[in-house]
Amino acid sequence: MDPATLIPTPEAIPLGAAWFRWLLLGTFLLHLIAMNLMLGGAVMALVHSLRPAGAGGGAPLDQEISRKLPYTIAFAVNLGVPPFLFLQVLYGQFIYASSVVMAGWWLCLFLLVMLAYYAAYVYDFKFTALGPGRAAVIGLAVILLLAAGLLLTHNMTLMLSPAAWAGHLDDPSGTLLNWSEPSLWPRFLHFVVASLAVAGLGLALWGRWRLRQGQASGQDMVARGLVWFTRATLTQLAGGLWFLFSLPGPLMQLFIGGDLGYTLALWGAVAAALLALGLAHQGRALAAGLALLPALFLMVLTRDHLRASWLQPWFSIEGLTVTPQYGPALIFGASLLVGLAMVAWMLWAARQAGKEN
Amino acid sequence: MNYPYWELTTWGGGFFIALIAVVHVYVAHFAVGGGLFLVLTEARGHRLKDQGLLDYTRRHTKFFLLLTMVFGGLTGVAIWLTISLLHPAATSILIHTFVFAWATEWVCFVAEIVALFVYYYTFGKMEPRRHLMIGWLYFIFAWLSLVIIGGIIAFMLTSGGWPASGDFWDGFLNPSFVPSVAFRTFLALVLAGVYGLLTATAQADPGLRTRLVRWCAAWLLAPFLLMLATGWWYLAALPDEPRQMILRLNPEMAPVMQTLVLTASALFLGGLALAFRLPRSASQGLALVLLIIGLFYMGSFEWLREAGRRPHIIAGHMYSNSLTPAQMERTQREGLLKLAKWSKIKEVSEDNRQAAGRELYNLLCSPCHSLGGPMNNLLARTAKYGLVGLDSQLDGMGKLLGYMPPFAGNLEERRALAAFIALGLHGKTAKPAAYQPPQMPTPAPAFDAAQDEYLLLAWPQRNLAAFSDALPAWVLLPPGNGLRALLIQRGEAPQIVGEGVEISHRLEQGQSTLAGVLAWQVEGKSHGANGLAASPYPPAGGFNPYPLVELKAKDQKTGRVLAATSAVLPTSSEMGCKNCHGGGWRREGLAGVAPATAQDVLAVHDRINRTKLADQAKSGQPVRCAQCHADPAQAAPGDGQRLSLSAAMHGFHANYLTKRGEEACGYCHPSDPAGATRAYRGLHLEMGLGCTDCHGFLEDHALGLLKGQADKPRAAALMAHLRPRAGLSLQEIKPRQPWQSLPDCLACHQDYAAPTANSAFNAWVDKPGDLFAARGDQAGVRCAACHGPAHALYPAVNPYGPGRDVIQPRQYQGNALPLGAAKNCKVCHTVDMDSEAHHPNSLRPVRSLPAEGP
Repeated sequence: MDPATLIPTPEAIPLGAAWFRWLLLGTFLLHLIAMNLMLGGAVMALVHSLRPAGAGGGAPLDQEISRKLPYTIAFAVNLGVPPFLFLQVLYGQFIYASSVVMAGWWLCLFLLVMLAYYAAYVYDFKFTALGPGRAAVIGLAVILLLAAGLLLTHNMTLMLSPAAWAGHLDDPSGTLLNWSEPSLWPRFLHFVVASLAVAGLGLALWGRWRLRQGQASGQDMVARGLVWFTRATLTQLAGGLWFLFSLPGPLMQLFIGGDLGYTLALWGAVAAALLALGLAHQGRALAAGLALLPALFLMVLTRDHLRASWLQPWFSIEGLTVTPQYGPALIFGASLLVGLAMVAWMLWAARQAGKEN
Repeated sequence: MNYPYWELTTWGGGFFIALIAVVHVYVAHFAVGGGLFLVLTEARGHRLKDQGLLDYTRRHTKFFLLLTMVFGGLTGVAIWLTISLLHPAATSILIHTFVFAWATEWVCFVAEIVALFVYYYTFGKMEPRRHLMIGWLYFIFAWLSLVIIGGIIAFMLTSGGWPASGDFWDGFLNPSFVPSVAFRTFLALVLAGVYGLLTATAQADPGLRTRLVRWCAAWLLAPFLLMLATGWWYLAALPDEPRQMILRLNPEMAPVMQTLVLTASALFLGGLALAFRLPRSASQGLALVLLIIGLFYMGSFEWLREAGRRPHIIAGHMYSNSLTPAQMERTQREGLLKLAKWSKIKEVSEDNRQAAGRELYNLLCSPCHSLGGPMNNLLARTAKYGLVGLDSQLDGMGKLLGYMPPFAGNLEERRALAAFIALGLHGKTAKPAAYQPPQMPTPAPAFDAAQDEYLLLAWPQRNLAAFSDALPAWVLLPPGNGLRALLIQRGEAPQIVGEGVEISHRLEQGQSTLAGVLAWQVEGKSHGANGLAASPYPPAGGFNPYPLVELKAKDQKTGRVLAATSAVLPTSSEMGCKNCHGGGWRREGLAGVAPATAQDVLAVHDRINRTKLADQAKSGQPVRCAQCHADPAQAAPGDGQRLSLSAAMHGFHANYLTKRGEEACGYCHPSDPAGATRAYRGLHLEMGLGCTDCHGFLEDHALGLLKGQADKPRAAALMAHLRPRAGLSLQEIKPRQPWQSLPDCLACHQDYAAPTANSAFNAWVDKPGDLFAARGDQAGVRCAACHGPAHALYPAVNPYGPGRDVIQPRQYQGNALPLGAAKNCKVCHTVDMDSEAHHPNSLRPVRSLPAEGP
């Protein structure tokens, strides 16, 4: 069967596709950072809680993480909304179809995240009372988040493979998954390991901030964070290559010289990550963080390149019909400015809390 | 037809949407109203310097945060996931049309999260005025979220000018936008009180608890009237179509509306009760009950709102089966399976009929129906239908009961879907085997052509005579047929004998006997009696719709028997209501309306017309249809407001039985050629003519009746979806009156000659005297006397014994032909005749049938 016959007809979009593409990439980058901090933070807390005190374990740090974990989940979910929105605007005909063919699993996504969210709150509010049982609670949260991530990986790869949808015609129970996709596991692990790296660096930056506030506990956080970042990034070098080589040959070729833009983006990201690694090795958390940002952005761009090339036989966002309407977009832009200003003021006010007098 | 479907069977019908959406909106409205509650409660605590109140506010904030941010936030995402799985096409439209509204709402969401975190984590640490400002910011952003999402949800109910323009603002600023936001705002405030009561009643300190409970009760009660007022405004602002769908057209909404009213009342009374001092456990229990009642209130409101947009998912643009009207027009023409991207089967065949039906079910039904599940269970709704009934229901969808879209496939697909549901899901049989009627003896009354001086001819007034054996529930037509007889004194100039003779009839029915004397009717020039209620149920069991009546003509003075004969007196209770109303046959598996069928008829009538007929029947008063619906056959004038019985019955049911031939007649009347009566027989049947050749296709037949009742309010609605079929325009179809405007035989048999046409539809007799049953020649001999009754014209073959319909032709002339046919004038005139005195062409040879007949 020709997979093209299964691809739904797309809707018109109200603004040029490029606008939505950059909105998608920009908001996805924010989501990615929040998600990495959430997942990586939870894994770090779990690993710490499994170690004996003095051997890398330590309740005080875990408690610090426990207080922040709900925030990261809240923002990972919240910042996941706009990229999912813009993804549907540009690729709705793919993501809706792939979601339906794995509908039963896909609907579980919110349950997994919600349970992880509540587990995180239990971990936070009952940290002391839980005692040794806290490893089980944070472990549950990690498993739930990993399962959610795996479902996302399934869907993000399934939406790229209309040929894989055909199984739904024989069994429309919405239970299809994309296990046969060679890049599934390397892709999933790529995101998981990246989460450890980003969360490690986040811990280091948090420790750095603590130190600048005159809190000695920051030193340990910087050290531990950079260890997490370094080890995870080194692992990522191998894992990334596995991911690259798991791609279909013609697609992989695009990233190793077949397409200059694609190649530059990928290897630019790798170079930035290596730079961050080097800076981390020198204990320069902030500089490593600044180097990692372009790495993350270029990786997001590479992910977009990969999607575009994967869908190229069937679709290109440039082909979408545009029926322009600018007013709502302008209102969104204005609301974003006002909203961010309000957020900034509220965060400032929170910082000032207790210091007003 | 663009997207794949998710086959859910039991959990289909939008179960996940209903489950997730109702709990989400219940929490989401709390997230709005509760925000204002927090900030005003905190402000009150500061103003009154009430630390207990402030501490409570902080605790309530934690509850609020865990409920609204975690559960509310995630279930909000879940709704998004769910609608994209169950209605991807509609979701795609909402996303693409309102992408920047969603994006703006996301900005509000970000600000809400930040505000709520800051509010909670700085409670008691931040300077109060600033802390209150954070609280206000939370409420403002939460309310703006409500405004934005409210606009999009309102768009689905009242899409305004958007379907025509595609303009964002036409869709967003739709007719129900402002009132719906106003209503939801006050609803959110009421719910803030309801949720507040839950935590307030849990406070240990009695003094604080009392203060808090009264404060929360005030939150519940104060906005209550405004909520009701804006709810009324919301309803009033709806265009007529959705408002009528909620209030009147969708009978399933009546209990939901009742739930809405009851739960609103209970919320108000519960709030009042809590305003008084109650023991802690009682107040806690009541608060919990109110929370649950509130959920039902919310659920019933959302249910009604969704019902209002039926049969659409986006008003005016997309049906609930995800097809736009333009797409549906195409799928009806070309076939849905062929055009649907995600159908495995592309064309229905004999081999794949049920599999194709299953695909059609998934594409068309599963968005709203489940199979055995809690949502719009299709199995329960279709259990009563056989194949015919189900196909008819699909045919009638979207016509009279507008809450479902029209069937979106072609005829073969409709049949395939009906087969899947009726045969595949319910295991019914496609069509029972044809009934084999018992063959009964045929009497042969004596006649000596040389000696006998008289001929006694007799015929039933109605030969397709059905009565509704549906007591004690209802009576559509009571049993009773008319019998007519003609006594002819033979001779060169035969005479019709009217006075001075007594013609008696006798019909043995076991213990009872139907007997009497036929009265001479001067104008009709025949003897006759009406209302002879013969029974089709022989005392020994079985079914016989053609009992024999014996007739004798005696000289009144001498008592001498002048002539004797027999005739069938048709009577049948084979009315096929069960085809669509479930149940089964009442008697012998052959005829009669079973109690379950009869009750369903009343239940459906009640549901659609908001009558109380089922209650009336239950109270021991059978419903007599003709009491409201005029019926000339019963000399019933009706109530003058409603359609005649015939117009109502044919007009309503024709909407479910379109594009069919004469089989449609047999679904209700006893004319099914495989049924137990087979009332239509005789010359016309042998010549290949069917019901529709004289009476028209059902649609045309119904349109004629409805046009004849055009002054009645219901006529236009029943006509709206009926399309003429016989090549005539609606204007050309003549209005007709039941039992009066019947086919004129001379429309085909011009000048009594061989037929020049094969359709008598729309060629109704001008006056009652021209009816076949009433028409006679210049000598006064009625057509039926020589030709037999209309639906059993000689030579007719009776299914219960071939000769039972032609007793008199056989008796008097030894064949089954009309009296005097084949130049057999001697049968009355005793000599051959050469003038066509009775009607032109009466001396021509018999055209097409062997003279001996059956």
